[in-house]
Amino acid sequence: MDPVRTDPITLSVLWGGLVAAAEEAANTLQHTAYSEAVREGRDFSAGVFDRHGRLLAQADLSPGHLGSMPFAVQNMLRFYPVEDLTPGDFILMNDLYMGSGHLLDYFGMTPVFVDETLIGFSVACCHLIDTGGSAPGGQTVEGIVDYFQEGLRLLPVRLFTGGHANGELLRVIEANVRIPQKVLGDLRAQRLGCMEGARRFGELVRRHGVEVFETCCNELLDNSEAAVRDAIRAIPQGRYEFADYVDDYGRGTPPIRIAVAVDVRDGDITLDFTGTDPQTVSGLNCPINYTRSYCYWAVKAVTTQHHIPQNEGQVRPVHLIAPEGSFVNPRPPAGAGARAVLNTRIVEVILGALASALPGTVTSANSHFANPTIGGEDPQSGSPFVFYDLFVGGLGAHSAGDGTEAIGPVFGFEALPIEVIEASYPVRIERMEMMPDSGGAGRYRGGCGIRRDIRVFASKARLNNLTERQRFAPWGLFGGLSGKVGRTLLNPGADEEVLHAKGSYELKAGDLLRFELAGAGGYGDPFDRSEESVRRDVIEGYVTLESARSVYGVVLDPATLELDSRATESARGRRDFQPSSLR
Amino acid sequence: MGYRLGIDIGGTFTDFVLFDEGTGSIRSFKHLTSRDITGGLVEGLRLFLEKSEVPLSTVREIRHATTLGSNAIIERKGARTALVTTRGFRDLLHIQRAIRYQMFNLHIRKVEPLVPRHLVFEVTERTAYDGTVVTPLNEAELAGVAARLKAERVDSVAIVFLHSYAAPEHERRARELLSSVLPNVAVTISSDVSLQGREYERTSTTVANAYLRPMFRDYLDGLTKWLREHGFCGQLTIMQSNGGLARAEQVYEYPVRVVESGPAAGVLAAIFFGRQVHQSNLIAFDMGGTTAKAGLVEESSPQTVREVEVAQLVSHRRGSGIPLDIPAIDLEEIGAGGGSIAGVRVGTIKVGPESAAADPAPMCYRRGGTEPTVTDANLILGYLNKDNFLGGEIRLDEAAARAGIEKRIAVPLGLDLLSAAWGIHHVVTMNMAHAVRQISVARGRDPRDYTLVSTGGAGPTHACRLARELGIRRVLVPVMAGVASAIGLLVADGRHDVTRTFICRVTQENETSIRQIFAELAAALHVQANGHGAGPVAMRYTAAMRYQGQGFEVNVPLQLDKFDRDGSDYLMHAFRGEYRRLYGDAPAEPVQGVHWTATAVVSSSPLRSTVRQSALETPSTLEPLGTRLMYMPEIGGQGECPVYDRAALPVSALIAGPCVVEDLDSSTVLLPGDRAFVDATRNLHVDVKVAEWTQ
Repeated sequence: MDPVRTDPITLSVLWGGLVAAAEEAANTLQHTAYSEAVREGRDFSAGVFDRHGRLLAQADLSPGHLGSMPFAVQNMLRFYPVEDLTPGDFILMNDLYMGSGHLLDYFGMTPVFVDETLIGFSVACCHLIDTGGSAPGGQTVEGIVDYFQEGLRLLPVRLFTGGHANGELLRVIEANVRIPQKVLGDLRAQRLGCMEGARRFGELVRRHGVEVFETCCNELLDNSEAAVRDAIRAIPQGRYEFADYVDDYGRGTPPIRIAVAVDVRDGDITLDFTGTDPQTVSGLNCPINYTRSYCYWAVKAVTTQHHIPQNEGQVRPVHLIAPEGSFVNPRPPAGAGARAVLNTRIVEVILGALASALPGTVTSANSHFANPTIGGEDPQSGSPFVFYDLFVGGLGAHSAGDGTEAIGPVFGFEALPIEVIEASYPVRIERMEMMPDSGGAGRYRGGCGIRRDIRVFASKARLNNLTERQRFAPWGLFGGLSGKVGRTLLNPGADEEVLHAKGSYELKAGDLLRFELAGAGGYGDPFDRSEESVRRDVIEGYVTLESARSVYGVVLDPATLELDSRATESARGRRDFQPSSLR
Repeated sequence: MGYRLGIDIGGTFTDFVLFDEGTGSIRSFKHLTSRDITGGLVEGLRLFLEKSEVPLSTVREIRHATTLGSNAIIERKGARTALVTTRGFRDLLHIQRAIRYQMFNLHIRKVEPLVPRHLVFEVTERTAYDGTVVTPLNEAELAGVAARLKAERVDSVAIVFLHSYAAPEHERRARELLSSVLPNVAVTISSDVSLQGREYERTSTTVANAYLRPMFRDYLDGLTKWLREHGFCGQLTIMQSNGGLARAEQVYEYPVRVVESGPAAGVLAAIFFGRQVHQSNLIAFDMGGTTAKAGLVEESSPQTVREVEVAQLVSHRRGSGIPLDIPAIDLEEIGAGGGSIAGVRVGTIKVGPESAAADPAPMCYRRGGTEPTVTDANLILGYLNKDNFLGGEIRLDEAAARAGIEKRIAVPLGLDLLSAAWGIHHVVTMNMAHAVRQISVARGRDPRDYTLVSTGGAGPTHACRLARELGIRRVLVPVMAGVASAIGLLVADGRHDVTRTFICRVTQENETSIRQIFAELAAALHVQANGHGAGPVAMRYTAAMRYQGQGFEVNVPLQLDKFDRDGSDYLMHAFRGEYRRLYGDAPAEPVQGVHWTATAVVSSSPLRSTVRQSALETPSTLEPLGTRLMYMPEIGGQGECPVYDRAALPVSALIAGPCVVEDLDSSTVLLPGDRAFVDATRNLHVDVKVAEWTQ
């Protein structure tokens, strides 16, 4: 056996322990959190790093945090080098360019010591529901010219020194956010989570010894890197291109082109975004760390997937070319509060590019989600509220099946229970359902769009809408059709008003908002879909009788829903029945 | 005087335990579980009673745990069930919580609901979160739904309206109307099943209950009929997931509460054996063929939770299965059993959660298994007796185990055979240590303060090493460890929980309301508990509390006399004590009470102090059966170690590791420095030499 290697048994045990440390940090954070977004929506993450700031293990939560976390740690270390840190310190930072691309994500880091030696870091990131700025929730698109409008911005600061809180800094935060109770509660939870991860991490290393641990880290990361390189080598070499459009960045603005060329060569993968449109003057831009996060996501999803827990080794073969000043690598102080809406779009262009190379793996475009924020004054308590909502549609179809309905497309999230929402905010959810015929037709059908109706009772309320795919539909692959585009309506009916997907609006008490998410793209020719699958979709209400006939060429008896074989055969045999909008 | 019978139907075996009240002795029997649950049970019962020469008419009571519920959900064999819900929410079951339980899996699927979408019906009605009616129940619409339910020939209906936990009137009225039109259809309403203000979990639980009702009724009726026809005139009770027994007629209404009740019984057995040796703080550790389970016991009481998940698409991944909001004994379960499969992942050994279970089984069983398992590794390490496994029922094939471990682990990692086998054993033990930490360290408990009680076929092989890892000094391997769940049935009490949701600040002004709630809960329980007949009733109270603004509650056990004396100060004190224990810090912020629970425990265990295993006719001797080559890093590799026959060890015997103590259905491995003592009832007490780093 190679003498510098650790034995595989110790390596196995240490790895398991590191993943466990990250997961325990996440559990503690979630159970002590205050905001609904963190405790129910799981918009947070946790990871453990070695002393060089290399990611060793993470709890699979929010990839936007996790992909940025290594860079956030490096940035915090620039301000607080290893030799300045003492046990019980807690460093906090929310700068969007050092962190995850918007000010709402607060990174916290605590050093881990074994005896006198600093061996690594326990790190957690939380999406706080408010960080001040021009609008509640901080995810506004329209009217933003730079990040100074988006809220309180903290460069790395020491919130706890040797276990003692910096009360002055806490007062600064308290004074600058709309819901200090929840924000400070979540910060406390974040620290408790970090401490828990640090304790477990420290125990593990104390037990095996610092030297063994460090050798293990190298080996673990090298082995993981090798696994990713092997998987990349299994992709046919080549340069694969794709481009797609983000709808726009507010009322009266043009679409934004995201172009990517994926270069697969010798176990490396380069994602080149040259040709992407320039950064915008709005709250919608994709800072480089956020772009990186979802590039890593996409590469992992087509290589080691869920089989190997994520770490720094696995991103080594992934290279980015993102022109400075472009939409996917804007220059400070460009605003980016709304960048969350871009995560699946980054992944989708990469999957779209790889479709010809990996037809069995990739999926068509996802349904997209909505992440509106409603803020104002609660009429019952008279105090301010921020309702940060998030709901998701279906996934794009793939070579082996229909797109799964209603599931987080590229992030770990739990839908907030309606009963919790209504007990917490002055709103009532009046409807939440899948919309028939919204999913793109295909041999495999795309997931449906979701309709959600929200009645708002606050008299002084403001909506910051944030959703996508209302102009450019989620595309299908290999003959699969696009899903239906989505829309947002105010007071649907005779006097309805169509709201912009990224607009900000004043609301009055009793207003009803209707969000309709786009449907996901289909995969393969709809005429190749089995008659039984089409019939099942009609019975279950995912596809209407009419669409079964006109889009799939499957004719059912309207009364019994039995298959009319002869009519179907004739419909499917006629070329003019073939849908015209095939890609 | 007569007999009491415990029957635990598990995935592989059905265990029978018969307690003779006259002599105080116990005998046990294992029978392969049949696909026809009733048929298999009846056949096993007949065989066992014949063998024991006990007529059914002398059995006074049968206590029973069954996997029927979880099997029916996994295999989709329940009733044709419909869901009636609030207009606008037909997709509650299909949208779920939208959890991506595997982050990077592009082809991820969600668990299929128990009710297809076309059998979900909406009715116009609406209640707000505080219980005020926003829209009255539209009874004309409901009549239309009833007609469609009739046309669809459903067997069972679940009714779930939003916020019914705060105001159940609409659900009750809807049940009344549907039942009058559909007299033969079972109707379950959510406010009877769950009081949780999280609609998906409540819906999922209600639907599962509806799905199981018709089959449980058939099953219990069939079983009762057979028993009566064969002379049984005693009482039949069923174990619930909360560790308490329920009468058959209660199970008719709420079968969802008995899903996954076998593991709960295992914890009760651990408590019973712990009591015998005066240990009340325990870690109950059970390791079988597919999973290991760990549960924390304090002052002889198990911890309980209100959520379990069944039929998971990916084992032990929250969000991939069907959540059930039922009171259950809190068990951390992981895919670590004798049949767990070992493989290589980027230069490391990975064990489980995939399992070869009984089919295709570990390679050494020679039943078609092609992947090496934990049992294969234990055999190679010399911990198992290839000629006397399960009392000689299965002959283990060492060559098959060796070939599998060589091919899948040793060669890819460049290890020798023994190191590879040791690696499997070590990794799975560490996985279990993680599970034990989850129920102890992660909840502010130091495992070193607890006694590990090891049960299940594979448990005793790993128990002492697990204890060493965790710094636990005492391990108890009880007599008949392999049928612990069935013994747990015999020691169970009747148990009923009633929970009320009442969200309020913990302040002096609210003391009266809280007292009122506890009084009402106690009154409701006395009615239920009286039906149980025998035994004194003990009441316990808990409150689920949180800091105002948080969303997860902490369960705080309460002493009512202290509450009566000190009021809200006591509640605050109790909450902050528990919170500090869990999270290390308890700020002086406002506190809310959310759920208030009263539990009635009706003492009904026939087993009081000790059990004696009958039919132990092996002559006592301290002499080992012989020696075997075993591998332990502590002895520097492989060495000859003694093997003892547990049945032959005399009372008060003292033996020292390294050695193996063999039993009919388990092998206890003692490591160097460990010492074991045989007590008067033949429990094995191990004094573990803990690892230096844990001290």
